[in-house]
Amino acid sequence: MANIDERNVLKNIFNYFLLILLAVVILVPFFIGIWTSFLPTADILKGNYFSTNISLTNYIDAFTNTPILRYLGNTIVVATITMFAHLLFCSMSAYAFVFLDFKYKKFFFALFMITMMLPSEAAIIPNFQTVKALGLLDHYSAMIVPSLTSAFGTFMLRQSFMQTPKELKEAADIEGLNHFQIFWKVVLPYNRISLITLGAYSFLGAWNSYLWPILVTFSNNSRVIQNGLKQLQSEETFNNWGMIQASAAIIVIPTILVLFIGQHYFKSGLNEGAVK
Amino acid sequence: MSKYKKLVLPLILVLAVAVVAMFGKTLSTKSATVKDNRTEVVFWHEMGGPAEKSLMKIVDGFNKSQTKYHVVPKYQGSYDAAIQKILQTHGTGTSPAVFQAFDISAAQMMHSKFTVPVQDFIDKDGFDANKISPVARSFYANDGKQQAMPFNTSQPVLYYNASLLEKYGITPPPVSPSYSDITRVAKQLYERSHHQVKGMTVQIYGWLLEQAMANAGVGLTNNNDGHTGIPTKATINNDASKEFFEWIRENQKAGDFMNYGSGAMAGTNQTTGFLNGKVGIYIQSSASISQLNKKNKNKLGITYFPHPDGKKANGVAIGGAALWISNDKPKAVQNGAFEFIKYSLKPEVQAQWQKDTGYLALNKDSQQTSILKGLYKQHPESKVPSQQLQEAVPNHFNSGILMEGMQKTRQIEQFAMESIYNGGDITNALKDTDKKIDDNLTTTNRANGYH
Repeated sequence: MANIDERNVLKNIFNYFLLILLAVVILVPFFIGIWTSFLPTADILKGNYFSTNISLTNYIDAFTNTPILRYLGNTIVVATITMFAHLLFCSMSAYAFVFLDFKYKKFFFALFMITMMLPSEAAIIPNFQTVKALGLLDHYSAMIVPSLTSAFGTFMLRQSFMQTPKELKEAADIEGLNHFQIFWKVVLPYNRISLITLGAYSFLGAWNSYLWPILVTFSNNSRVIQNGLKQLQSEETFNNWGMIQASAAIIVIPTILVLFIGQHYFKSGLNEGAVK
Repeated sequence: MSKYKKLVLPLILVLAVAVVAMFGKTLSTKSATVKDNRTEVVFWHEMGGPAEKSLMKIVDGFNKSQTKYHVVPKYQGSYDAAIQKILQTHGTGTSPAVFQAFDISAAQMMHSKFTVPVQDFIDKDGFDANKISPVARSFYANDGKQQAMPFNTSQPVLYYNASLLEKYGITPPPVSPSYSDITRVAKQLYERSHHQVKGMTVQIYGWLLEQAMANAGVGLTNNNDGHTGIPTKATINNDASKEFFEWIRENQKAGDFMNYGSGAMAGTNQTTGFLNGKVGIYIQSSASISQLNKKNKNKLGITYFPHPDGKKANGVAIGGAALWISNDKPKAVQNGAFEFIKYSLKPEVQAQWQKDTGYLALNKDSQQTSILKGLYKQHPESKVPSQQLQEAVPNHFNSGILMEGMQKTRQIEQFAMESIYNGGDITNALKDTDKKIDDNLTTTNRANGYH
């Protein structure tokens, strides 16, 4: 018996050693980032990372000297609307692909998937022309309208909806529910976890988008946060790296919040079952 | 009722999307428009960070001085992205009246036919352009006509750590050094510090190679660097660039050369290395001076860009960006744009701009202002970049390369530098570079219908 224990202990030690090592590799750059956000720029420039000159000045500067709050507000509006739009439109189309019968269903689904193969950067020029023709430039909607739906979201929810037990659908049919009722009362609650995952994914995607917003926004009033971060850097002259780092830290906070909230729901969702 | 209740939320969302789509514009711009009767002049720029603050000072100063025009500044992202935005929005309501476009886009902007030459306004207004640095003006001029007005302007200069040189008893290089002057200092620094301090570095950056050629008085392309016709052939494989690379190789062999690689990180790393006293000499934009003066414990030394041995320096070209006036706005707005350009070039404005950012003051009279006199008193070495700018007599080879596709050309140049720094054959690398640039030129010129 003792032998087995010893082996287990060794195994555990090895496992934890490996896990700690990986955690260090992944977390250290993150912590260096957070740490430097408290340092004055002069120390950062000289590579003096162990300076004890720490203060909150960089954070205060970021909030008072830059329009970062406005950018945060803009981004929250854009990301939230994009997220809800994805949830609504993707779940509706996924429902159609799973529970409705119509001609050329496979063909249309394939069409959907093809758009997923194309990176969104490839569609930038036609999208820009469209948005320009619609007169939406420098507008929240220029960032929202082109990304109201997502082929990936439809695909993901379709795979999830397909797992919905047949019995549920049959029971709902017997109850005499129509499609909208089944969609709203049966399918969506049952697939709550997938919806939350997609929601978090969409929110983060919109939060982190950089290229498209920088092309279609032209003023500080509509600028989103990732572009705002770029604005804090000058091209050739002096840069206040401490403040830039502090702003980057501020920008990360909402994404971490979303992940934590998402994770909480994810856990509680696992414990419930619709079919016993 | 209750079964409809659950539909309320998605309905509200759809409505919210529709509302934002329709009224987003008014919502998002409401807070910005201050109602006044002045003509609005939209100004696009790419100055981020601290430079943006200095630029806002200029804009505010202009707006306060004006009863007729009101400039609305709008940041547009990186230099590269801004060019595309300018070209793609031309003729729409969003496009700017005056915009800042960077040095290497000059040919592209000129050929776009989207701009009014600044010369037209200079002639009408009787503005004395001779006050403005000739070598900066010639960069954005074609056929004797000023196309755009240089604004944020820098030149490459050589920085050295004067404290380290003092410590090891090394004679500083002359103000306009030759390659061998720099080699001497770099080698001495490396030897006398017992290999603790590397002598020098030259970043893998196409701009520096172009400047080495400019300073030697040779062109990068035929047609005099594009100033007398559209370039069709690259001429990088010449004695001047060979001499430049042999200079670097000599220092590499001596062991005193530090290679920081290419890209933005390399720039930051070499600055850090220089501030920490790990490398004694490096070449960088004169605009970096504001960064080097911030709490630098070491004494800073500056010289002109080095030139080949036994030759007089031809002078280097400027870098940075210029202000262009779009032709898709009414005459009144265009005039307002020129008024703003004129204001931005005032001696005091330029002097303050140099002090704040490190970009060089372009107006000759700026040197006599108390602002710059005070700056030179505090940091005597910061006079050197201004002198280099004033001394250069413009000719075809130190007025930039008027060629489209410069971004791609820079990449090709950097590829060559990389292979040479890694020990590749110099002549072969340069031949290869010429061929690649030629191919790119052929495609670009054909796409533009130039031949």
